[in-house]
Amino acid sequence: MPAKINFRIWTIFVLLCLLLPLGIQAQIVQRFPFSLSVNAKIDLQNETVEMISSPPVERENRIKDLTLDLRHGELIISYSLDKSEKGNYYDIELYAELGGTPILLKPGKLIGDIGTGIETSAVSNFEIVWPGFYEQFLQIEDDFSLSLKATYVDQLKVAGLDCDNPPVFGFKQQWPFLATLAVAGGSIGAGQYYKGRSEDTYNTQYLPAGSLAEANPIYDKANQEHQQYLILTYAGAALIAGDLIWYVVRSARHQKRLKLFDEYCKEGQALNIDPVFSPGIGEVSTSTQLRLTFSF
Amino acid sequence: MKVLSIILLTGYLFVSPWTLSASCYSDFLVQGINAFEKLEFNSAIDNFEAAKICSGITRKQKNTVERWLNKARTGYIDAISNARDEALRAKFEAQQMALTSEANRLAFIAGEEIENGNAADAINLAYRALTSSAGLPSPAVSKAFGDAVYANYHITLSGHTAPLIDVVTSDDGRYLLSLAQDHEAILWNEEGEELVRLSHGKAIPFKAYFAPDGQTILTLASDNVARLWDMQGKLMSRLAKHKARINMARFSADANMIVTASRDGNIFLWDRDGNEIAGFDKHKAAIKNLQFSLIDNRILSCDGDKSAFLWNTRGEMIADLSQDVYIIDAKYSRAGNQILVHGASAEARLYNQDGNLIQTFDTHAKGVVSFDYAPNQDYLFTADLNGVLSFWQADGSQQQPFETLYQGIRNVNFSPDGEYLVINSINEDASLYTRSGDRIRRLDKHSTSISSVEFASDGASVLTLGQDGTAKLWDMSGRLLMNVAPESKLYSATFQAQNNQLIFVGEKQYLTLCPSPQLIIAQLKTEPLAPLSQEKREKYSLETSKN
Repeated sequence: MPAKINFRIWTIFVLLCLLLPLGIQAQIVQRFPFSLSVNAKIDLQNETVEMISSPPVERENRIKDLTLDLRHGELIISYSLDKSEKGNYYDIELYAELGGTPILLKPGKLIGDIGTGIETSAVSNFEIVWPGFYEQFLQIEDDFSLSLKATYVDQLKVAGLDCDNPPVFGFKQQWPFLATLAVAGGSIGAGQYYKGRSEDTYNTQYLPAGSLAEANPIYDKANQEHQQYLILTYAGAALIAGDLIWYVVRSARHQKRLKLFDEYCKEGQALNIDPVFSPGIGEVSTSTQLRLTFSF
Repeated sequence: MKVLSIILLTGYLFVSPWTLSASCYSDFLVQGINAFEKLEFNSAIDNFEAAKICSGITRKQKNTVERWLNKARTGYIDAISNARDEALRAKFEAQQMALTSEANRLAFIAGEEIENGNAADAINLAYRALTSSAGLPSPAVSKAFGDAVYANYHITLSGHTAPLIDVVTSDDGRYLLSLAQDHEAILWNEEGEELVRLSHGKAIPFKAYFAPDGQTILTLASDNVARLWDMQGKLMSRLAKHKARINMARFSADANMIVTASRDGNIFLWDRDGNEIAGFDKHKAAIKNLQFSLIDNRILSCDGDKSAFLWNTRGEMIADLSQDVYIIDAKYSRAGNQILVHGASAEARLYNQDGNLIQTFDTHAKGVVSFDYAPNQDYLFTADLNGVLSFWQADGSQQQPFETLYQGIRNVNFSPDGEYLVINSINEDASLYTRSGDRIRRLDKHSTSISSVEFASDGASVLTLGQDGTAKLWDMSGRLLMNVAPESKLYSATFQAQNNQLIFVGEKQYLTLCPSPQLIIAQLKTEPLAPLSQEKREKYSLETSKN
């Protein structure tokens, strides 16, 4: 009887074959930063803040009304943001300078509406508190500058969707699955061919052989053909299984994108975001980022 | 005849031996004295010797010459001695200069090797420079050694997956607790080994306290809950009554009670099992100071709205210490039997433990930023926004203040023995002073203002953290011992209690430990470094250097 193949090795081989069709697709995620700065003269002794200058808010800027106040020795930073669609959010950062020198802000120092995930679907006015402000500065003679940076994270863009191009999952997207299925079928078919040849060799040549010396090479040949049958059959089966899984996942992803599309883009709700970036003080990151996702 | 006799007599007198001897004596004496005054003692002695044997000199003249002769001989000997001493001194100074020069050269090379990433050679060279220095090492040598210590001996404790927020050390220095934005606190031992992780679910821990008995840890997290943990990382209880962010917490001296305070002004007292004992509801603004008395477990609290209260453990207010101005601090004295309150006014106030006013101290300044007892002393000090540091007796009498050169003082830090202090100004740098008011040196190596100052527990060094994100270690003569400027900015620089190891927290996800240079010097005396290879000795031209 032909020898059995090493199943473990071939399982690994099949898994590697499954990974080959997986594409690593780079998505460009658009994050739109907005920035607004204010300058102020702060009198800690009398707890007063005099706004010296703040640039006029541009129509496209999503940050409105950035103001400062002193209360109980703490600096209160109030700001408002344009309402956003449900599911979208802002990342808020704050930069401060005193007399032109940046102030190092320890993580967790500022309390309130700062950081990631600031949603404005329900409210649009926010507050950040700088505790211990009086003790940190005691007496301020230079101008105090503050810059708020709000990065708008658009869920639609995160998903890589465009309202002008609804997601589709037609033949153009499905042909790799069909092609894989065809290859798997071909592999199984080829396996059957080798199976027939192996049996034929065994029955018509090996069994009637006159001597052991004559029979052994024939047996080796039959065995080799049998192994080829096993390899091709298992590979085909694995390809079918992998293809099925791949198809199911891809289909589910399509459904999710369709749902997002229906939520954001149907009935004239198409978003039309024009990025406006007003350079502020402090370190400001670039407006695009690269994110890697697996798509299959 | 008569005229001839006179002529003959006059002529005889001029040429007589008496005349000749008088001239001989005076000439040689005068020449000898001139030579003596020019310190030409050999010549002076010769002249005096000659004067001595002039014929016809009187006994008095002879005695005079003898005295001058003795003086000349003594002066000669003294001159030789002085010259020899001068030569020896010059030789010694030349040797010292050579040693100093060589030490500076080695320090310079050590600095270059640090920049090249060759920390192992750098510490070897820097230590050689330190030990071969004549007298006190130069500032360049001290700094090179400190930088080499950091390059070689600092370790990073990595375990968090998000940037750090804070680090806390236990009172005995045996443990560290790091808090990070990854929702976890990690307990480390003093060797930097991770012991346990305290997971806070979705909340972020931002503050922590070790109990005085060293058996419990209290963490405050962003979900307004305080958590009590044992040292094995088991959650013992949750203190979950606050509706606003908990600002701070304190353990009682016996660690049996915990008091927590939040931004909405609420204060709660708890037992170790997490059961509420009492609530305190008089504050209407965020609590900024909170303290247990060491003596009677009373609680002192102060908020940002000018209110300060003294409470008992039943939640009853004992005394109202509120002011008309913003209170910067209200705290117990070190002895625990007095309360000190100061703020944005000229007056600092001293109360007894029952909250009765004992004394006010009028600084005539815009505000008092520091008010406390000087360490190991029975007098108080105030530091004000006019830049004056004043010393007081408890009865209100003032000792001689010392005026700093600053427009305003930010804070004052005393060394543990009270003999040195660092005065940190509002908008300039800081300076190291002696207690008597002598300014030792400006600590002016930060490019921005200094945000924190801390003395080592042995009082031998002081650590400063600047707004520029760097930390610097100084000795008590104001020399820079170490400059810590990692690739990420530092938010915190502190000493680990007891062992004076340095702890740094920055923008990254790890914290850094580094022994102080003094620790390494003591270590190297008993465990010397491996000597440099012959090749390296030649490379650094060490053959002629002397240890």
